[in-house]
Amino acid sequence: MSDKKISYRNERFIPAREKRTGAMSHFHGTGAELKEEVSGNIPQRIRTFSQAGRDEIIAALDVLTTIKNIAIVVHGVNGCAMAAISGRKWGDAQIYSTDFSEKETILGGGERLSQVILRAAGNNPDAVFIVGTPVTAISNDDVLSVIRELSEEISIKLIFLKTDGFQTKTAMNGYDVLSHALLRNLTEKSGKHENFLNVISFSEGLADLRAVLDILDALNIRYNILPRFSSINNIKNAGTAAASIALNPDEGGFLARELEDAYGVKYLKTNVPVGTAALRELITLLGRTFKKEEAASDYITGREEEISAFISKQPLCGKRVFVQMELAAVNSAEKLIGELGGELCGFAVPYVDEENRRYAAELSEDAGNITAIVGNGQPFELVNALLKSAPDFYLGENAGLAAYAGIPSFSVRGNLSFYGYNGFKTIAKKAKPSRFPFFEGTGYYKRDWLKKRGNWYVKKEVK
Amino acid sequence: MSIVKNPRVGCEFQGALRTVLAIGGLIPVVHSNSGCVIQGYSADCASGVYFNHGGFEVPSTSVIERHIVFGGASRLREQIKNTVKIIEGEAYILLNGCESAMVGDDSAAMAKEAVQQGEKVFNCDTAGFRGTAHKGYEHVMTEILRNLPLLGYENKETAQPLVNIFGVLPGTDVFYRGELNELTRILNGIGVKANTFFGDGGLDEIKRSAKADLSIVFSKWGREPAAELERSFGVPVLEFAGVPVGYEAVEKFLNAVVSKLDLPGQAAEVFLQRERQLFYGSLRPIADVYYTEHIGRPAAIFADEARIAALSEFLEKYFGVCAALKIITDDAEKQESRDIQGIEQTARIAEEAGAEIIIGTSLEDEIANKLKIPLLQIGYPLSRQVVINKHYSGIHGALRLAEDYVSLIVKKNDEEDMERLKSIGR
Repeated sequence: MSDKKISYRNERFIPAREKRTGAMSHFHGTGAELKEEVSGNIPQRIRTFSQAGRDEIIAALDVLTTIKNIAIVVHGVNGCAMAAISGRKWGDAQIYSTDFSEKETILGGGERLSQVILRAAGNNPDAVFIVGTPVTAISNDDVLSVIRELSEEISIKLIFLKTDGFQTKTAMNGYDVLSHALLRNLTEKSGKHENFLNVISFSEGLADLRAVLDILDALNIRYNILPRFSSINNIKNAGTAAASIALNPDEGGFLARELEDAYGVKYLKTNVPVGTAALRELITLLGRTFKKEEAASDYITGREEEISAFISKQPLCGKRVFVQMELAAVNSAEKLIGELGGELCGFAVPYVDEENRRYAAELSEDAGNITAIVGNGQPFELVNALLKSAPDFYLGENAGLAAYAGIPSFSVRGNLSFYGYNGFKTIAKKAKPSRFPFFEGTGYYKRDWLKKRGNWYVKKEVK
Repeated sequence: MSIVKNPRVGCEFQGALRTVLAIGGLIPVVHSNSGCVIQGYSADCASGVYFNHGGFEVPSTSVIERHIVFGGASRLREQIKNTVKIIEGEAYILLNGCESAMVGDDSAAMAKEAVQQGEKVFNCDTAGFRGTAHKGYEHVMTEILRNLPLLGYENKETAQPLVNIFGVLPGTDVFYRGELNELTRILNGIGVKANTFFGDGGLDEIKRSAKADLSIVFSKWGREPAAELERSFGVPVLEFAGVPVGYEAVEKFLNAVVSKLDLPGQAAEVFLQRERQLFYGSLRPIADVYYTEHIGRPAAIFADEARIAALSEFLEKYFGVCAALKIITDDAEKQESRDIQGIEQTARIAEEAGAEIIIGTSLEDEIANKLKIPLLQIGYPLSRQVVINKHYSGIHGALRLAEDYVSLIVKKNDEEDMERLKSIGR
């Protein structure tokens, strides 16, 4: 992990991950080649063929729709707010769009934005988030001026997320933009710290979150969840915590580091809580930080005894597994797969940067020869890699895409937990990867091109 | 001025993309930032709508800042070149998002270049700010038909009369697949072949469309593509207010088609006789529940104009459901002017109108919860449903609608009884 100690709290906006951390969103090779590739200055490469992927707006909306009693104003075309529909299931998200037509793209939409904010504020939310989009970035709408003006009229906090959608190829930049805006607008520096833990979560489902909270409950550690499934109060309190953990450091590391740098909240650097080693490390560190060493040690012993039956059965014995998740999670997953008797035969991650490249370096020696690809989405490259590495099964976030390659698949998303000690149970008892019964071959991609290396259309960026 | 709360079906780009994804053999090449496709895909998945090779599989230039500043035409050029190499398709359509429209990328020129190299590539400007998803269907279908000279023509497969179906919007009409299957079944029943464009026939049906004997239009969004075929190839047009629902509507529909195609008078008789038996024979046994559950309830209906026309006629005629309030959600100019009134006010209007059931989408759940009345979801976005072949059209769909509607009323009555039971101390 980089030891940079620069807080962005006082900056109006943060640079994109590519500029800030050298994020690279393309690679196709082996684990060893990836280690080598990212060991120095991380090179940027350009795809001359690409497929759709998540962007920073979607990442931000995905989290915002889970925050309690806020209004979200998507400033742009109404299609830019559509991803928020999937967040409606969490309850009370109030989603507005300034619904740009051609006229606003030419004349600007400041006046309309004011009216929508006033309307959204009328329902008395705890905060109104204004989400930027490509259209408003290109038309150069001065959102901050609108906010300044309205802030004299209304007392509700108005928070702008500068998510242009085209400033980065790394969707997770949306989490950073959101984190930065939350800290800048909602958190006060008090200097006082109370005995509770910030649990930083951006993409985890409730089952994974619950699996970690079970540990904290058992150790009697008070916690404050943010920003996913949180409230404005949770966020406001974050600066007064004793410590923070990021469930997935690739996603929450920025927020945890900012809380440490700007507010003195200790960042407990842990791995994604999957597999006994990562869990032991996490629980021990929590025990030490909150002075509950003995309880932590007993808890580890108890839970490890509980899962020993699953481990001894070696449910993945002889299985070659391909995983797709963030690099920080791949590291933990490799260990879990190994504990259960399997071996990692390839992985796909959305990006690698200066912050997370240590995970590539920490992969086992065996991982040196396995397939490693980096890409935000990019199913063609995934299918190419899967067909060549021919795993026994795929374990990851896009099981549907892997299924289209004819590979038996199991999703780490959904309502089963992959995190915590429950993860052993999930993999041992429920992971029955199956081939998609309606699979009809990879006819979408031309066979000849699938045989080639998956990155023949990539060129080096020339500056 | 339009303020949209809880956007409903998305923008012109998203409607156009849904339409293209539903046409087998036609590959979209999106020229926009990477998230444009996934915005619509996320909403589709959350609304029960799925397409083959949609979402992450869609080729996209995924433009970044430099393409905004310096223009993205060259990025599009290389994307076209490699998409035709990698993706198996018969033809490729460039769909432009807002960014490329705003910076003025000349996508048409890029398409022309590809055509000069022997590829079937054409362009459709679908900037999201130009309109709603409905407009996207209308625009892209018209553009596809305008490009028939490039795509090529095919003759009819048989001597049977052939009709084109317009105005049923893939995805934006959540039940489009089942609806088109039912319309095909009904038309086949009288010996007429249907070009639905979004079924197994794919691009071949597009290529046959110029040779069709008739274009049937089921919503205002189908007028322009049908008019394009009429102007260019003289295919006559027959328009209906909506897709037929229930026996009488189907009978009326088929008789109009028979007359327009000048088919022998008895062409529909045998088929209609069988459908009549199926329809009335299936519903006849529910007389008891029909009366004891007092199923005719005033409804507030939130739907596209064509769907309101079709469903309200059926529900009123057969189930005594009067439309106490009709909210049209596909206004030609802007889709959601009703939202300016807010949930509170809309709920009050529905309550004052005496609505006892809401017929709409998952966006109406807040109103239904507020008024404590049931919600029958019939449109985009749906929640907690996966749509494969479900629909509320023709005869089979009408029976399904009857099942879902009556079941909701029975459930509501049971809940009220449970409340009463509680009130007497049990």
